[in-house]
Amino acid sequence: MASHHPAVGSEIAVDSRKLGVWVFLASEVIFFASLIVSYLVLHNRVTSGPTAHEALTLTIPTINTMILLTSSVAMVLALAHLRDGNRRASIAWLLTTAWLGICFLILKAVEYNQHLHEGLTPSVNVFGSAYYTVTGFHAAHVAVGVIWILSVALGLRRRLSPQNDVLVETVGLYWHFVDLVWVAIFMVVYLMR
Amino acid sequence: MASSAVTLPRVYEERGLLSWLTTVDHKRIGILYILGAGFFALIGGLEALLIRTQLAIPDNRLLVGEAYNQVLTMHGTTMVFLVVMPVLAGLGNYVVPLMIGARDMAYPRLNAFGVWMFLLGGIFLNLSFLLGGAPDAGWFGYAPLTAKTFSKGAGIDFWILGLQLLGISSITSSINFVSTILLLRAPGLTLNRLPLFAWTTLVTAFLILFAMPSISAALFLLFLDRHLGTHFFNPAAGGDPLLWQHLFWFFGHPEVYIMILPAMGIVSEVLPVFSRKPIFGYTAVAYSSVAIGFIGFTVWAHHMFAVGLPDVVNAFFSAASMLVAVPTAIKVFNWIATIWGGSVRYRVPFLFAAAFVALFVIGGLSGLFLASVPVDWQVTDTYFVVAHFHYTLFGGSMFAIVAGIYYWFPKITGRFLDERLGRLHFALQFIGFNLTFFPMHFLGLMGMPRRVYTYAAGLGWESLNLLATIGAFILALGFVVFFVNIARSLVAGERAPDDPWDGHTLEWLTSSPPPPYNFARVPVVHSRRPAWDRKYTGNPHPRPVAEAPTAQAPVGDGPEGDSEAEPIHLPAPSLWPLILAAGLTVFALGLVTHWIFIPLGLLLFALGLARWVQQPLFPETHEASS
Amino acid sequence: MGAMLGLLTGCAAQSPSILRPVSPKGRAEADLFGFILAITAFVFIVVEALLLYAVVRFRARDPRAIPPQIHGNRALEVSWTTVTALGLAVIFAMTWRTMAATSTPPADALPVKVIGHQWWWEFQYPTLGITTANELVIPVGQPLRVTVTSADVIHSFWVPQLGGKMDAIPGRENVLWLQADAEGTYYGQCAELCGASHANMRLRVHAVSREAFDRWVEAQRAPAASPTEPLAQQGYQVFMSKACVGCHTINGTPAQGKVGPNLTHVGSRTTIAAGLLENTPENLARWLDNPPAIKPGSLMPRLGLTPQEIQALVAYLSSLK
Repeated sequence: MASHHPAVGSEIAVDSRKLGVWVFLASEVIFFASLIVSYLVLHNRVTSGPTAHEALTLTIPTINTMILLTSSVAMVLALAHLRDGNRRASIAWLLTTAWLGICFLILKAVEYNQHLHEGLTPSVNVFGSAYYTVTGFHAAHVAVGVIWILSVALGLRRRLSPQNDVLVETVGLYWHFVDLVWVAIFMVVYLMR
Repeated sequence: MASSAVTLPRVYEERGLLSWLTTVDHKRIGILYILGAGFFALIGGLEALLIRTQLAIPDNRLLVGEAYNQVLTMHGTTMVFLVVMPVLAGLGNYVVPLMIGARDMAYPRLNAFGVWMFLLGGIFLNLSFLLGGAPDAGWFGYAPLTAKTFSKGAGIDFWILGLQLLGISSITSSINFVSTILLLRAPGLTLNRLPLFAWTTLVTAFLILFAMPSISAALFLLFLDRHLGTHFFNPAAGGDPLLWQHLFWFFGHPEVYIMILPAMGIVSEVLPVFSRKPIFGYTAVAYSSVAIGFIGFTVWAHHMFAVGLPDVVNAFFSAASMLVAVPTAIKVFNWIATIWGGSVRYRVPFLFAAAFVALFVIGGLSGLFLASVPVDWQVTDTYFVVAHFHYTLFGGSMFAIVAGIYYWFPKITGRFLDERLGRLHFALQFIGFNLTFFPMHFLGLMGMPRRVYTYAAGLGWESLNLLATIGAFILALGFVVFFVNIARSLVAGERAPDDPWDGHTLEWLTSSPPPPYNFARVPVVHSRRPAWDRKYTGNPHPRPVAEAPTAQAPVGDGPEGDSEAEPIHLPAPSLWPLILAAGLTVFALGLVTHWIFIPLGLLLFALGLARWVQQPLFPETHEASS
Repeated sequence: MGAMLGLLTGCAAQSPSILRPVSPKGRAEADLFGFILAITAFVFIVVEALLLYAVVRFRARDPRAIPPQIHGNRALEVSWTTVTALGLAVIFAMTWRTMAATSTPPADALPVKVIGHQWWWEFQYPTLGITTANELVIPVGQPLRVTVTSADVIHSFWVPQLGGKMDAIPGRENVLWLQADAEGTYYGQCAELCGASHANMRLRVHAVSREAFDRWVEAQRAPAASPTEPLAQQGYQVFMSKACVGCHTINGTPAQGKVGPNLTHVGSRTTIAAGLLENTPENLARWLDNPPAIKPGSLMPRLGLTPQEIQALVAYLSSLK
């Protein structure tokens, strides 16, 4: 195995790192599906404490959706610039993506803070439990994504080149996935409350 | 092939502890998996003997109450997660790259990370015995028994975190197998020519990837319930104990196929070789593996027929559970047809593989009773189920695993396991196994529930329980013989050639044991049985291998021989996978013992990760990847 | 078929065997079992015979002989796949039929509520105003609509000779059709791991004539008998002054605890400690002295009773018929 490119015999010509990330994301789909299904099953079985309808407002989540969608565009631009050979622009767009991710997390923290003050905690009722768990795991994935982007943009900047675009493509795949999961959560948790 | 003109830098020939701790070689990693599984098998086996000793007579007081529940929980958890899964991962790790003509797995360091997560995770789980008590809510840990209210100690937390650590190992290992099998096959090795053990490894990898996240999510939810006061499984606050069961069994059922499919793959390799003909119905067998994988995801609630789900739901799962018997039966018939008309050699691998078929059929048939809802209402949660799953997982998986070990031991070590000790082992294991578990069918029908630490005299359960206990000790004796055989053969076993069994697949084209780079030249493949065909097809002077182990089979040397010579790059050894795994384990320890381990673990984790990413995969300077 | 199987498995005739059913549901389940057994036994014999034959008949005489290299046979594949699928379809059809016929109790069923506790069974007869524990008394031939639930963890209510089990899940009410068509005492046991004394959570079902049942109901409805003889009266005093009242109910007395089994008519039960011990004075004394020693994890603690107190309590509790 001389490199990350498949052996001569395989009819599937994909960089192994990319395939690896795709496969990993497939399992993450099941993970989030399990959490979302749990949320769907439990969220309106409350007998006391705030309900989804009472506790959730759409302002911050909508802004956050815009933020994440924009960040995905930034990520696409980062990859495109790298493929064009423009490493500086690529890194700039990567940092933009990360910055937008951080904004998402800050707003999420503000939202959580609001909820906590209004009495919605993970232990107040099963809706609280499910809400914080689903959104919390997603936020954790965003945080991991931000760290990954920053390591690529800053720590691995010297290795970035059009031949090595897989470094950006893989984090891009992950980031788009996290964005998609957010869209699902936004619909299930906020729009369908 | 065996005579290689490749010289290796010193680093690859190192011996010693450090070389094992930093290895990224799939062969060494495979050995670590197998040795680790062997170690945990001793513990799990001891737990089994404790259970059987306690149940030998009614109203016994050797092991009672929660102590018994701890032993039974750890027996199940150990056998599933620390023995069967890892040993199959180990055999897969060692053999699959060789079988497909690859030099290593797709992600060598991730591979190392996986085995360390397994070893450390297994140790972590067993530490519970010393740190307040092992988990005691059964290997499927139903809520609300596992809630803090009913399980106050840390045992369940060890179980939760231990399984999460082991799950990480399985997932990374599966990502590796998928990429390796899809991307690193030798020239000419199309999927249509993929050895069946590689097929089942591939399907199993997908099963793990789609099943483990479900239990991972469930374990997170349980941990939150226990420590953050959430209410996922607390009915008093709107939670649902059945949610646990659905999430668990959505994983739990594919899990049993994860344990049986690679074993079936081993049988599909061994039976043809010792019958001297190809597997009968290759396509049917390959597709059946895929079908079992798919259907396996649609049957989970057959573990829940007695929880009060609506009739129509039960009916669906009942039908699906019967449907999965079709591809399973197809495999059984094809295995028998493989032996049929063959020239069968009664070597030890064959004995265990043939016994697999015989015993798995029993397990499969008893499964039909469980698939039928009204019958299941009577026999679920009884010793009938215990009989069923031991016939499929022990009579099935374990027998196949043992066959695989006898089969590939010469390749891995360059020595044969002793044939006579092997036959003694087989006799003891076959007799002991059936004596232990066949009576359990009857015990279940006679009303004995499972997971009971004792039973009353006068219910007619005494003699069969005693019989089962005697069987268990005979079985244990068989394993003693096995381990003695392994130990002796490692130092003084008869030397084995490259191709001791007149094999069919690529691993037999290299030396025993193989060099670190597996093949001096990657072979070019033209059929499903490249090794066989080089010996017998298109070879004007076919010479079968003599039975004496010192004979060497000549390998065809024609234009369809090996690929062009190329420079061989091997990945550099690395300590960081171990550090990363240690970091996660220490972090987990912090969650159940002293908080100081939490930052310590995170530090190790960060260190390991950073250094791993910085270290190039290959030691040469012109390496162009991360 | 069922009788033969019953002989096979209940060779100790005292086993609570599912193949000696005494209820319509149990009989349907046993018949289905027999049907599947016939098919699987046939398959077993054929398949194992083929395997054995292949292994023996084709043993290599010359270790170097190479047999015909057959790769497969499409007709064979299609045949054995089809036969298997057909056989399974038949089993499924019978499964569906039996399930539909046994999953719901008939309309005239007597309602009974079963509540699982760690590690005893609470039984209520809502329409009769009776609460008791661990021993269910039912009229022969009368269908019962049993609602099964739990007060703590998941248990499973199972009386093998009266049909399949039903899980007792907190927050959920499952329905089970119970019925005994012959007089007798039937053994039952919890069938879902529920903690330290899961093995000790047993029960009895007594199927009696309609007249006997009516008499039992009348007796159960009555409050506890006031003790007449001196030792029993002493026992009454001990009971009411100790922690007993915190957990147990004895109707017509100050004892109204709801944590443990209702003891109003405990003297009329054949067993104690959830079907674990025969209801004799010796066993009662043993139990009162040290419950956790008999039932690991028991929520009833060692109360530190003196032997005299125990003797008195035994006399009192035995008098509660």
